[in-house]
Amino acid sequence: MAALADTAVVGASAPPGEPLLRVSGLTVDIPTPRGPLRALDDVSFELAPHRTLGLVGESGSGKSMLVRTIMGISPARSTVTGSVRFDGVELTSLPRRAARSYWGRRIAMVFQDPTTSLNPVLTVGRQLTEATRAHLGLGRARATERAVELLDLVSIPEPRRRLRQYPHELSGGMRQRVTIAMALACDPDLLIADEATTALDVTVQKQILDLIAGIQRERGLALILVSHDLGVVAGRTDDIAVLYGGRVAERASTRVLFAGHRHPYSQALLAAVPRLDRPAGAAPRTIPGTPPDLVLAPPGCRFAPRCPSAEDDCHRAAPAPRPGADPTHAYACLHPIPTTKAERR
Amino acid sequence: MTRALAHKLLQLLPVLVLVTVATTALVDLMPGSPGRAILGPDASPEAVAALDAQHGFDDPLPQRYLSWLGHALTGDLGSSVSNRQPVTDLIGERLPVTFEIALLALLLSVAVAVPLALWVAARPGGLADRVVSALTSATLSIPSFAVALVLAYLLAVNTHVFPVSGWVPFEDSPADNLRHVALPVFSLALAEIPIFVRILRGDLLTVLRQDFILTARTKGFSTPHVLLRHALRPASPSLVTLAGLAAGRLIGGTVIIESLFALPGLGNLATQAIYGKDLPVIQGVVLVVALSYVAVNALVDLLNSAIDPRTRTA
Ligand SMILES: Nc1ncnc2c1ncn2[C@@H]1O[C@H](COP(=O)(O)OP(=O)(O)O)[C@@H](O)[C@H]1O
Ligand code: SF4
Ligand SMILES: [Mg+2]
Repeated sequence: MAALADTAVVGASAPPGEPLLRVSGLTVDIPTPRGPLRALDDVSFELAPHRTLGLVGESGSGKSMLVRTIMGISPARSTVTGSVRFDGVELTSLPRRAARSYWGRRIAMVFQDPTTSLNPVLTVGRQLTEATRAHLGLGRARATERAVELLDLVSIPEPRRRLRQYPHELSGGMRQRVTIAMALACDPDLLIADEATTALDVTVQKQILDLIAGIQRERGLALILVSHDLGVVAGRTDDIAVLYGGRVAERASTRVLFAGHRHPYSQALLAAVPRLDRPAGAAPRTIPGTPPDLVLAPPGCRFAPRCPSAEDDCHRAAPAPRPGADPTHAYACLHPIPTTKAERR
Repeated sequence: MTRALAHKLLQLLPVLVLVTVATTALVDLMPGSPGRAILGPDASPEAVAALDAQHGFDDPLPQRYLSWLGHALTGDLGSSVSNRQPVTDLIGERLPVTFEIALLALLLSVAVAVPLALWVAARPGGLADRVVSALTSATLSIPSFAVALVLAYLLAVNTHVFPVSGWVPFEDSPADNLRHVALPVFSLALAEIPIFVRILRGDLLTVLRQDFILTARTKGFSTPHVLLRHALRPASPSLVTLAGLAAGRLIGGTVIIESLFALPGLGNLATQAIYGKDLPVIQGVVLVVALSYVAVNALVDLLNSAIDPRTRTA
């Protein structure tokens, strides 16, 4: 893998103490026929090099919107405000041409469904070599060698034969390995996996997650693991951010989030995770109610209509983030779960 | 691949048979005998009978068809009733003209439509898209002969940029040949371009909504790269099919344009043959047009399976 490392880092390095990725006040509005839809509202978080962040929340909570905005692929007519700083450089205001030397080269992404995220009319080899040829200036032969190394890295047998195949000739798990190999092609510093295993069956799911974890350890990547299922990211992340209705409900180290969460929505998500330590017959509880309508969002806390702890003031204004157990912990709730109660769980 | 092609051609065989049987049957639909129709009311009954016998017009349909087919398979399509020239010679003279015009019109249409569709699909709803969409709706409703008349008036009659009519073979003078085909080709292409732009724009927009386009964008590629390398190919099967249909139409039906510009093409030959009730010639033209349809059809299939590997499994 030495060959993959020597072309790794391009561009400036962040000043010491600066996180690899700092998202602050990120807000995305999308015009819809019913009116503007606020898909993200004042989202902030940080990610240090080599660390793993879990991004969780029910379907529709804005996880994909968040990571796509970081990748510069927010919907065509959306308005993005706030800041995405990567390695000390502001990505949202960077000219497209300059920003392209970050996306694909230093930040890469794996999508949810490998049956649709690979181009059906191009060979695996073509899709694996185009980035290294375009961005790193490799010749055809060198790029092909590199593609073979990448397929090796993601444990695909007979890599040379795979290069000549088309996506539809591979199984779902194999295809997702190919998209991961593709994402790693230019040796990024940050890998984003948006529900990368949701479309796969359970055994393959674990294999892919283990593969990503192994590569992260070996290559020292920072990683954002996105999932609607807290159970999938548990045990694989350093920190977790919980999204609800396009806002960060709570963020904390994984340990604190499980043991000392304060937000009722985090509580509800945790209760929805199937757990082995629960007595038999105690099925995971789904969260009653439906996610908020983001076009006609009520002014107060977006979780209020479904929240068991909601009181009158919750409906008035969006709760500001409050500091929690340690400097990395924050939650946006007016009537948080008492610490002792959360720790008892 | 070759097996699939052979299979396809075999499927098209009945079409050829049907079309040629139908043209052979034309004789039975004519009032009176073909000999009378050709020679006119003043001809003597003996002369009419002689002509009918010479061309076998009074034989029953199956016999006529089998005899025509037998000769056709050896490359003999009979001879013209009016001037006794072999039908193959007549078609051989006219076919290059029609083929050249059809091919150039098709190439020009694709060469204009593809970049235009890519350009407007990059920013749907943008200014370029709205202008092009207005222009395509406007030109869609104008028939190509009207365009031809206007072009001929402006560029040939008024300004003499191009000749008004006539034909110079490519072998004689390539430059003159191109000057003579220019207006007919423009007129024909102008009718195809709006259709091509519309279909490709729509398919591009569908493809551009797919996840693999987002994948390509997250890999840091520019919009032109994403459009050309990732979107165009998966978006092009309908365009290829449509271009195939247009090719068939251009080979078989440029009659109006050919007569407007006095071009010695296949359409022109067919018109003359129909007026002269020249049955062997009509039948020969129909055969050539039908064969072209079959060939274009097979070519479209080949192209589309080259475009999309998922259709290649058979
Ligand atoms: N292109 C779009 N146009 C309008 N609304 C969108 C678009 N994409 C996503 N949304 C809306 O944004 C919200 C967040 O969606 P998404 O980020 O996909 O959620 P998640 O990934 O957490 O399931 C949803 O309410 C969704 O309906
Ligand atoms: S602010 Fe109120 S409604 Fe929102 S989560 Fe806290 S208690 Fe529930
Ligand atoms: Mg999603």
